Amino acid sequence: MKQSVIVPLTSLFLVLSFCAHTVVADEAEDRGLEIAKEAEAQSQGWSDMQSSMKMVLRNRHGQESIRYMRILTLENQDGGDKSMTIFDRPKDVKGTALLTHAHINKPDDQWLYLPALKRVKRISSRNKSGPFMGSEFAYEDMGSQEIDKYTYRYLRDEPCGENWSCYVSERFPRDRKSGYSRQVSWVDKEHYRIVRVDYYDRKKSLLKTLELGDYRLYLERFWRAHTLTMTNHQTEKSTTLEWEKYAFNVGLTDSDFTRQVLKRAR
Amino acid sequence: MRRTFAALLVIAPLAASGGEFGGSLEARLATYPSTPLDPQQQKNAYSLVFNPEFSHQWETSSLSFSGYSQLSDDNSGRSHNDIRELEFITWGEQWELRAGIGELFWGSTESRHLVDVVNQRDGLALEGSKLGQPLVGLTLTHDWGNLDLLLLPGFRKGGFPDSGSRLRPALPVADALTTYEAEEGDDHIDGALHWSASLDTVDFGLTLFEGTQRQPRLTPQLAGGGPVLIPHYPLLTLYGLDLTWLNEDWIWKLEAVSRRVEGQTQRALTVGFEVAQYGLFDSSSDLGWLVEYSWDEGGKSNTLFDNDLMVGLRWSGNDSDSSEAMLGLMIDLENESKLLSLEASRRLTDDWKIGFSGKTVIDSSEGDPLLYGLRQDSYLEASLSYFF
Repeated sequence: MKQSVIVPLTSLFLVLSFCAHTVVADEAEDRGLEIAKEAEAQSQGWSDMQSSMKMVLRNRHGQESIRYMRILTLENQDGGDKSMTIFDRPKDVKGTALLTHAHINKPDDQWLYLPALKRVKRISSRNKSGPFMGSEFAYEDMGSQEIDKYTYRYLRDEPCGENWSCYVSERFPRDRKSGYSRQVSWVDKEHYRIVRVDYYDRKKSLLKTLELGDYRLYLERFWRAHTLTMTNHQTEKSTTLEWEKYAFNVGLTDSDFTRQVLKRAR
Repeated sequence: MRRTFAALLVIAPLAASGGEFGGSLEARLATYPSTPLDPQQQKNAYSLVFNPEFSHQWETSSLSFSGYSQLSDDNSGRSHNDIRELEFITWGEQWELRAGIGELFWGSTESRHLVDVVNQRDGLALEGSKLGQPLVGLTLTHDWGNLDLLLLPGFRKGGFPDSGSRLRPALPVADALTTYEAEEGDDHIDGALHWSASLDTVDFGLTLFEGTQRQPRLTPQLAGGGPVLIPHYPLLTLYGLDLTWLNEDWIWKLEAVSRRVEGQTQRALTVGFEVAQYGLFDSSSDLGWLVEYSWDEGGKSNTLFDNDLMVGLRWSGNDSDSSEAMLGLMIDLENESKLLSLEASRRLTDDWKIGFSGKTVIDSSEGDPLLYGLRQDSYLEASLSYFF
């Protein structure tokens, strides 16, 4: 299996928001940043979470291959989150597990456990644009979405989703290793739910579109999309993430995110 | 076989109470194109490997089983069964206690594993897998890192294939005449300790091992009417260091050991780096370079890695089939000997996987006796695995 990265997937749809306007550049940028900050504020405070996910990969002929994984995440509002991803399918990678200690100002620390060798390997988290598990999601799509990693610009208001009123805005990755030149997102004004994201490659052509749906409310505060479909326009392949279970406040602590625990994760 | 049966007796009632079954079945076919040094050696070799697995997890404890059953050509002597794992683990926030038969890995480098001294190598399985080791272990996890303390009752011999097999020592090994330095023989209780910690981008570990050395010394003698090799397992005290350092795209690795055997101290070292180029030619594939240098005071008669350089090139397709290939070249820096290896694999469906591997000795020199003995044993192997 590829040395992979799946950091808090949660953050993907929590803080994918950004925005800004074109009237006055500064004003649009300020507004974009403001919206991103508000989205982050709304998404914080869930403490810890346990969930499982089905990933359906489709090629251009419609042939499917399926992956299952479980994800444990511990929120850390001052620094980066900690997460553990345990792979259940395909069966040849069953028991493989990935531990991530995310950081804001430096690359994440990551360890991969390879069950056939009983080996914990320190891996590099710098491969941002590579595909995660052979899917249409890149590592950077799955990783924690810190505000400072982008600059923002608000574009316009537009209806989207289930007749919601949405902000349309774009954001530009600061990291030169990112596979994208920019991303355009549609975010609902009321709860900052991301409805759609367009990804533009380094050559500035439209590469992928992410569509998020089946939003459900948890702890009367947190909206979670249960279906995320990433379509690659250039290869005609697509990947759907289906979230099956979310459990919040299950009592996870730092001691559940050590290399020793990684070895016995099953 | 009796051990496998005993394991089934333990597992069966638990399986009935719930738990998870899985595993794999693999078929391998190898061909050796060169004329063997010994005419009784095989031209082709087949193997079937069955690897059943079971695990059951409670709130703060678990039981796991992993079996290994290999069926090979009769004249190769490689057919065997082993319990790789039959282990009960129980844990708290900062500790873990394990007992049973287990397998573990310590170390950082890829081409050689100097500090991975706990499990015996399975000399009958081709891929260099390890035998299950009876153990009792305590792990303490704190801010200062991880401390593994192990008691290892029961020594496992490595096993040698029969004379019909390829990739074997030039002379037959008289396993029945095995000798030990320890008075208790294979009942000697060994001990091992490993402390590991992380400091920002550096992971490091210290190893201490006190017990019977896993690798035997093979001494030629006349026995039963011909020359044979007699394995002798001496007592070993080993101090080891392993280190991984991530520096941007570069991963630096080091393992160093000091071994005290029969009154003599030998040092050995493996050091190198791994660096990857992501998104090759605008595709999603990666190309990684692996370079490792090995040095060993034990000399050429004990190891292939006395003063050698390993250069590897690893390609990952990052596609939905997990296509991968690795090309490796090991170069002896004192003579012309080289060993070229190739490995490739991909998934066929979600349950099936196919693989190819091969090795060939190039410019073998008599100054490199271990490699020289394998000069006619170049091979190409295909494998098909089913996962359930």
